[in-house]
Amino acid sequence: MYAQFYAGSRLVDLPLFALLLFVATFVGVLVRTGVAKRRGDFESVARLPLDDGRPAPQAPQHTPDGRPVR
Amino acid sequence: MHTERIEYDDTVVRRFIAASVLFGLVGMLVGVLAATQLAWFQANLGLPYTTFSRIRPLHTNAVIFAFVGNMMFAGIYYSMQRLLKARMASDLLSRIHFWGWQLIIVAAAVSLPLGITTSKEYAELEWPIDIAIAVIWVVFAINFFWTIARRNEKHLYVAIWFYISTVITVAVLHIVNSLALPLSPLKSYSMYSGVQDALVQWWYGHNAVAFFLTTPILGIMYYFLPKAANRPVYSYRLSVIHFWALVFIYIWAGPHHLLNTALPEWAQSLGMVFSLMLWAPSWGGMLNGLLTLKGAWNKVREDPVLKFFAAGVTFYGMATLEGPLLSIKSVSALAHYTDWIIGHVHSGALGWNGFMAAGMFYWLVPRLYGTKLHSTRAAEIHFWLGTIGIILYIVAMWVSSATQGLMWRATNPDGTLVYPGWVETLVAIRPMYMARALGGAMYLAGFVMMAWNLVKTARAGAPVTVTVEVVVDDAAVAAPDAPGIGAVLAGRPLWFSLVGIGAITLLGFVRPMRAVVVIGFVLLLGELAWIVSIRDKEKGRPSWFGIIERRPMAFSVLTLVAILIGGMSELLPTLLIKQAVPAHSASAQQPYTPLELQGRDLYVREGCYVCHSQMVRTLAADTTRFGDYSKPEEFIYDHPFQWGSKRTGPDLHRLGGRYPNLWHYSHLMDPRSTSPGSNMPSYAWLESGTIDAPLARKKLVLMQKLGVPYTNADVDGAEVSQRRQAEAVVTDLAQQGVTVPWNSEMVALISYLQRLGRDVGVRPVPTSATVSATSPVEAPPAAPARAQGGI
Repeated sequence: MYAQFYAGSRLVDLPLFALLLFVATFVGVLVRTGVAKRRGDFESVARLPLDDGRPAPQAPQHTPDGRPVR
Repeated sequence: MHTERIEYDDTVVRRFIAASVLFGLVGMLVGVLAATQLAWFQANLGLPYTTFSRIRPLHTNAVIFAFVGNMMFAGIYYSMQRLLKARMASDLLSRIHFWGWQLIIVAAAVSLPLGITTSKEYAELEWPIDIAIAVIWVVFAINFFWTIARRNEKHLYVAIWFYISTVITVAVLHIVNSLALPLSPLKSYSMYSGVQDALVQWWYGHNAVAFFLTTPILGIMYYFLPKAANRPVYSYRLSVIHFWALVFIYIWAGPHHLLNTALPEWAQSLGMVFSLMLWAPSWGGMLNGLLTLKGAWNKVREDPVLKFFAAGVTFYGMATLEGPLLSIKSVSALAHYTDWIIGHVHSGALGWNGFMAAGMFYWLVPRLYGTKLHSTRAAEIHFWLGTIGIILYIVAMWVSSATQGLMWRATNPDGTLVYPGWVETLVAIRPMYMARALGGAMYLAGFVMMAWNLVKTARAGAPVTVTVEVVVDDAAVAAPDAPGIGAVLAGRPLWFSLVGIGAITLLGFVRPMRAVVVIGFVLLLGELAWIVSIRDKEKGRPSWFGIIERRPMAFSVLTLVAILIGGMSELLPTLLIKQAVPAHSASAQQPYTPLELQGRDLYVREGCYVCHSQMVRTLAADTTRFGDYSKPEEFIYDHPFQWGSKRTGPDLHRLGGRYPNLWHYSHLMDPRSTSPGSNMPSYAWLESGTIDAPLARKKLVLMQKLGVPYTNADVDGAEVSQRRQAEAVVTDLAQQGVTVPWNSEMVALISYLQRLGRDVGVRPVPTSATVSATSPVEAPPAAPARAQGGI
């Protein structure tokens, strides 16, 4: 029976099914990302690029050869 | 909890930016020259070193590895120090990395115009340079992971993940694809042959785009775009999905470069389906980038940095929509080997890479030199010059591609070709080649303005050394009680995923009724995973993701596993399979003769594969024009394969025996003498060049080691056989009034060309005895029943 099933299906059917499954999953994930409440779990990590620390007070910005920055 | 004082190493960042801009100028200038040569063949200048087929690899290598490579290192060194709150672990390793990489670029710039090449696209550099690349990459990797190990920030931001995937995957790709046996310090032969070589090469080629031109630039996007817009990334959760989906799927997509060829059908289907899947994570990432600008679009109008980033991310979206589209077999049948691919690549390279680089440089250079950008107005002009240049370029390539694709396949009601002469197509698309050269020149003009602007900016300020104080949470960074590698490997999401993937794979092998049960099981598993994750969260347990994102080694291993699954699944079957064709039977593919082997090396040296394919696809348009479709077994002795990826000239796989020797001689000396209207450069230096005759024996010995069934008698008689075959060609040419020495490079190349594709439907070579060729132009077609693709 299964041999007939596969004999009757084209080679491309299974990959197409996998593709549809994937797209459906991905759309689901996108929708969840869009509608889910912004939980705090990633907030601090997401802000990492914006956190530069504070310029060191005793260390004026200077050039490698010691000249102060213009 | 303590305060740590950190002085960042930005000297290396400044150096990489300067190198990127300098080599960007060179690479794009060479690109404009190459584009000009396609429209006006005279721009080849008649020199071997400036000929299109030799400088095209120079252009691609310069832009990919010198321009984007240096830009990527600048972005990585700047952002990772700040994201990890740590100075690079070793200034010495940073310096070795920088100078080593520049030396490699110089070696490429010298060797490629000299014709020292492996012919594997984007991996043309010969084995000593390949080893240098591997060594310098390891130096970079040590410094990179060492810095991660010494970090003062417990979290690894998503940009760092993208960098990790680049460091690991590029190493794997480079080593696997570059495996070769050296013949001499400047010549090697790929370990793989034919179909295997093609599959490994395009697994590499496609993933060089993925992990050299995409993932590191995405990391840069996830750092610099929020920075420039002064707001966090739109959805961090989406960036996590973007990362894992991209890393897992990208590695499978390579075979889409080989659709409708002699590659096994299963590999083609895998390549196509995974390429289509790629559309989803790519667009997820693009939307995440663009939505980060939500609420800041007013800034985009005024700030050139954001303008470049917004346009760059948009081009990323466009290129990643076009890529999967081109990977559909029926679309590929029309578009492959045409200029569409060139346009597609440039919308990615110029739009995505080039604009992201420009945005990053305009943002970084003023900060690295403690000043303001010299001219915002010039940056604006750069943006518009670049944008119009790219659009002109890619639209020209679309029109050119549609013209090529349709003209190549157009047939009369009786099945013959409407445009049998190849040059007819070439003449039709010439205006598009002119438009492309103009578009490229406009982009280059914008880039020159940027270089000037950045130099003026740097000279107005002085190099800044940034020292900051950061608060370090000792408990979190050291975290002696943090879950270890065991917790990572025992993580429920990992096992749910593995069992899920296993169950889905089973679907391909079980009976339909059981398949329904399996689908039900997968759905139940998903439901169970969902419930377990909610319960764990309620109990305050750290999530699995939370564990791995703080464990760089576990993270790197998982990334490696993700890329190896795809890579090995596709490569191993063709590498492990026994040769399907008996090597010694009379009907088997015969190895090349010593002279043909010498000629083949010249074919590689001159870069003929840049414009000519050797792959008659399983399409009516191809077989009607070129002859019987190419079979996998015909390539088993091809180290390396020469299938090519573009047809500026026609396919050559069934060229053998089609034209007399004199035709080839005339064509190589002056292509327009046989093919009026052709844009092919002359290769007249082949007539005076001589082959290294004693090398024939050494080449056969090396081929024996690679598995080509030469006997010891073949090896011993290599030089005699070589001379005998050459003299037959010389005698034939002499009867037509052409005198060339037997050891002329011209004779060797003609012998190779006359051999191509002749083991299937062998045709005798037409000689002066069988053809009364009064003029080379009047050389008769060899298969009158078919319309021919005249060269």
